[in-house]
This record gives sequence, C-alpha cells and structure tokens, in this order.
Amino acid sequence: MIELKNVHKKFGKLEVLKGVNLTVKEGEVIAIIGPSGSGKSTLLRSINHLETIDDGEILIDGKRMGGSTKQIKEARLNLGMVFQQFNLFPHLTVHDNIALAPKLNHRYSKEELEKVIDELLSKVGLLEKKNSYPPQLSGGQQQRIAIARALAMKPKYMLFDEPTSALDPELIGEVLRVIRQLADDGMTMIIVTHEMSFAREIADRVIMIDGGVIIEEGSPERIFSNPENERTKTFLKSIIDREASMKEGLFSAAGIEIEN
Amino acid sequence: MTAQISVICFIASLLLGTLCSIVRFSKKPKILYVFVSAFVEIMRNTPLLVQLFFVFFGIPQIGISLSPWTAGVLVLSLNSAAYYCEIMRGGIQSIPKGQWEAAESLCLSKTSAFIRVIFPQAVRDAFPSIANQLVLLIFGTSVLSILDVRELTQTASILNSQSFRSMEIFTFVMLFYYAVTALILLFTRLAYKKWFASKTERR
Amino acid sequence: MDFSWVPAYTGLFLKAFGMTLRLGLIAVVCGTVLGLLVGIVSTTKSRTLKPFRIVLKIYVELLRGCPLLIQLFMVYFGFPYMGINIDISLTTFLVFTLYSGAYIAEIVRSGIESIPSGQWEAGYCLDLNYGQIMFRIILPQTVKLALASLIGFYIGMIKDTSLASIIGYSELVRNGQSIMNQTGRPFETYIMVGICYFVICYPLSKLVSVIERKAARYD
Repeated sequence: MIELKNVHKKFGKLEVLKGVNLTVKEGEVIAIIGPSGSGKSTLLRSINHLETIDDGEILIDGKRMGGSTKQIKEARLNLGMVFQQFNLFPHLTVHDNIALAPKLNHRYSKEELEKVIDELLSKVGLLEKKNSYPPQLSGGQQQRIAIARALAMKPKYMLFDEPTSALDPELIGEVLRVIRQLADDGMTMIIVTHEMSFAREIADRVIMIDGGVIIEEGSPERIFSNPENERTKTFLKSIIDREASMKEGLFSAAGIEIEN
Repeated sequence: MTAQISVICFIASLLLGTLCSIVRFSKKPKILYVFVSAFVEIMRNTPLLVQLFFVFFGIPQIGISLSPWTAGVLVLSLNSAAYYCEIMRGGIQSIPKGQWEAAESLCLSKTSAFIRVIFPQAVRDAFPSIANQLVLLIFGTSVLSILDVRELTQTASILNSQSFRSMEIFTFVMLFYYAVTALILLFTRLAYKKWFASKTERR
Repeated sequence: MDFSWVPAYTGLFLKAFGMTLRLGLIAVVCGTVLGLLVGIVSTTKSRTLKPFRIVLKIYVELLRGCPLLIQLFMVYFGFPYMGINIDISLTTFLVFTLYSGAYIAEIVRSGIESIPSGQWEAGYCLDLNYGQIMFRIILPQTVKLALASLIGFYIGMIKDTSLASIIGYSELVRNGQSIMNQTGRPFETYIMVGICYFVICYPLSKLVSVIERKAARYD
C-alpha cells in the first residue's frame, strides 16, 4: 500500500503541492489527470523520492519514504519508474540496459537473469532487439524497453510519468498495449497521463489534480461521464472533445468504424 | 624520447584530470574541492613555460632538486591534468539529468550510476576534446626541450653558430610534429567510429 | 620565502608586463583581422576563388599542425640562413600574427559553416546580396557562437607570448630570468611572473564561463 498524507512541496516560492492525500491499495490502477503545472508529475516523482517533499509524509508499505541513502534505495526496490523521456542508457545494448540494475543488486543468478530478460522482452514484444542499441529504436520501442527494464527489478508498484507524451501518435498504441497487459496481470500502478480514453479503460480510480490539490476522485465511469467539480468539467471537455474529433476525423478518413 | 614523455604525461594527466573532475563536479569534500579548483585555475591561467621554470629553477631554492626530465614530465602532466579536469567535468555535466534519475530509480548507487552510466557517456562526448588536448600536450613537449640547456641565451648562440644544421633539424622537427598531429587526428576519427559509432549517440 | 625585493623591481615588471601585453595585443588584433579574412574567404563557394581557398587551407593546416615554438625558431634562425635578415620584433610580429590568424580562421570558418543554410536562403529570398547577408546576418551570429572559443584562444595567446622569451624577446619570462639571476630567488620571481599572467587570464576565463552559461540558457 502506498499512502500520501498531507504532502506539501515548494519549488522556491511556488507551492506546487498543497496538501495531497492519497491511498493506493495493492492491485489498484490509479490514473492521475490534470492540466499542465497542476503538480501531477511532481506528485508521482515524490513517491519515488526523485523530489523531496517539504511537509507531510509518504509511506510505502507502512515505511516512511526518505531518510538515509540506504533506506531510500531499499524503498525503491519496490518501486518501478517509467519516464516520459524513457531515459534508456544509450551506450548499453537493450540486453545490458535491462540487466544492469538486477546484476548490481544481485537480484537473480546469472541463468535466471537471462531467462527473466528474455521473458520480459517477449512480453513487450521486442525479443529480437535484444542486442540493439536504444538510439537505433523508435520511441515506442524504447519506451517498451524502459518498461521491461523497470519490471526486471520485480517491483511491487509501477509508476508511469506521462509514458506516451513524448511519442509520435502512431507509436502510442504499442506502449498502451503493454501497460494494459500489466494491469490485467494485477500490477499496482499509478499512471500520470493525458490519454483520457486509455485512463477510462484501465483505471480503477481516476484522480484529478489541479493547482496542487486533488479536486476530484472516483471511478472512471463517474468522473468521465458525470464530473462534479467545475474545473474537472472544463478540463475534460477540452481534452475529450479534441480526442473525439481527432479520432472521428482520422477513422472516417481511413474508412474505419470507430471502436467504443 | 618525445613519444615516451608524451605517453607518460598523457596517461598521468588523463587519470589525474578525471579524478579532479569528479571532485569538481561533486563539489565534495569541500577542502579538496577548494584545493583542486585553485590548482586547476592556476595551471590554466599561467603559461606552461612559467610553470616549467618555476619548478625547474624555483623548487631547488627550497631544497628539492629535480632533473630536467622529471621536472618536465611533472609539469606537463600537471598542466595537462588541469585541462583534462575541465574537459571531463564539461562532459559529465552535459549528461542529461534523466540518466541519473533512471539509474537511481533502478536502485543503482551513486557510484555505480557514475561508473556504469554517466562516465562512459561523458568520455564518449568528450572524446574529440580529449584528442585535441593530446595534440596540445605533444606540442608542449617541444617547450620541454628548452630545459636541457640551462641558460636561454646559450641556446640562441649555439644555434646561431650552427645555422646550417639547425635549419635541417628544425625542418625535420616540424615535419615530425605534422606527422604526429595527422596521425592522432586520423586515429581519433577511426577510434571514434569504431568504439562510439553513431549507433550509441543520444537522439 | 622573501618578497621584499619586489617593490624595487616594480618598474622592470611593469615594463616587461607591457611587452607581454604588446605581443598579446598583436596576436589578438592582427590575428583576428587576418583570421576573419581567411575564415570568410574559406567559406566562399565560387570557382574563381578556388585556388585561393586551397592556398589558405594549406596555410591554416600548416600553422596549426606545428608548435608555436618551432615556428618561432624556424623564422628567427631559418630566415637569416636563407639570406633574409630579420630582427626579433619583426619575427614575433610575423609569427604571432600568422599563427593566431590560422587558428582564428579555423574558428571563424567552422562558425560560419555551422550557421544553418536556412539563414542564407532567407537572405537571398529577401533580395540581399552576398556581402549584406554575410556581414549583417551571418557574421553577427557567428561571433556570438564563437565568442567563447575566441576569447579562450586569446587567453592562450597571451600565455604563449612567454615562448618569445626563448628567442630573446624581452617580455615577462625573459625579464624573469634576469631578475632571478640578480636576486638569486627564482622561487619568488616566478611566482610573481605567474601572478602577472594570472591577473590577466583569470578574469578572461571567468568571462568565458559567463558567456558560455548565457549561451546555454537560450538553447
């Protein structure tokens, strides 16, 4: 279980998180949505201690996130992070990218590690790219490798920071497919995303953040079809309208019927 | 002889420079940081010749006596190390923050992250500058040859009296330096292609 | 360590300092003028100028591939051998200008060539001629880009003036030698000499850092 209790965070004079409370139970898939600058990325990064909070506490399985380097590292063993910019290591092959962390943390034996790598690569559909280098791959492929890399450490929770925002539109689908598979397998996930239809599809709960506070949360059905908060309504309208008209336009141009 | 000195100075200065760059980059421990910064600034803002004379003529005054060879290699190594420090520091600092964050998220210690992720990329990025500095180092060995003669005016008169021979020697020396520079540039381009092919360049 | 003798030699230090600066200024000013000219011509594409460009390229490669000291020796000892009488003043002027010019030409050339061709295209489409584009559009951007490298090179040249001492030019290091002989204190002498260089070079280095940081901010 991940708990955020009254989390505050300032960047200089600007308060970015103004008292956020959130509980994520095991097996839950949480989608965090909100306008730019709302603090959603900062929130996610604080869970992993990539940002330090100024007040409040973050508990991973009951243990406070923070403290000594050793304690932070131990907490991170249960957290996997996928970045918007993938952040793959360009000088290492795909295989070595995935193998590096488990090797240095003595997660598996040598034979086990090779099996795990092959399994993960098959899972994301990129087994044949095992010996390629990241710059040789497309954005969608790189992000899928990044997911595999995070999974290799066998985390309990997976954090996704706008995983598809840096991708060309036609590459988004392949990444969402992998994330969907993970959700189906029961992984606990917190996803910060702009992909509303995807959020609606896989999230158990949707959290709307604006101005550093959670202004609404609930099931995707309720949030997307019947938002209570005015700001949520405005935000969703702008995004979904655009998504819908884009989809309509694209699909009708291609002569395809819109699914869902 | 020049080759011998160059190789020794290159390896020594590269190692020392890298160590210094780590100190300068991490800014800790504070005392070492101040000391290294002062060292780098002094070496980079005073001429090699002055450093050479200081060590060769000045140090004996306080009791330590050095052979021309030792003084030369020492000064050239220290001088070049200061430049390598800045080169490596620039390389390290240009690695995007995301690389550090990814390594940290994967539970790599700061040290492992540096050695396995950051440093290889920094070296790759700084490779041209490293080669360039090597050329400058080899040019620096030409200055070292001065030390073999204690009195400067002696050099002038010795050479003047043998103008004929000296022209030949200088032409030969000049060609030698051209050859060396061209070789290093060639090697750099080849090594770069082979080890750091664009397949590993960040997009 | 005894620095008590320094005040007595202030005059000599200042004079020598002046000679160093004089030589440095020659390298900087004359070198920049020459370098700009050579650099710009190197980037022209016309057929008629091709022989020039080849000559200039040889010049630049020649003078950049050989240590400054060797070049000083070649001129100072070599010219008399070939029958041309040359004094120290002219030698230093010639060598420092040409050496500096070669390096600056390279900085200018690569700077100009790194300006996106879109800038040229926009200029021609706006009915500007080569000269106008070069001087009003390309060069200003080149200077901005190359400023850090240029100043960095100037710092290097100021330090390289010390090499002229070896052929007898009466600048800081040369005078340092005589001071050392007179006072018998080489340790302190060369610290003072070093400080003279440091006092010019360090502020310039800081200036380069500031320029680089400012440039990075707009990337």
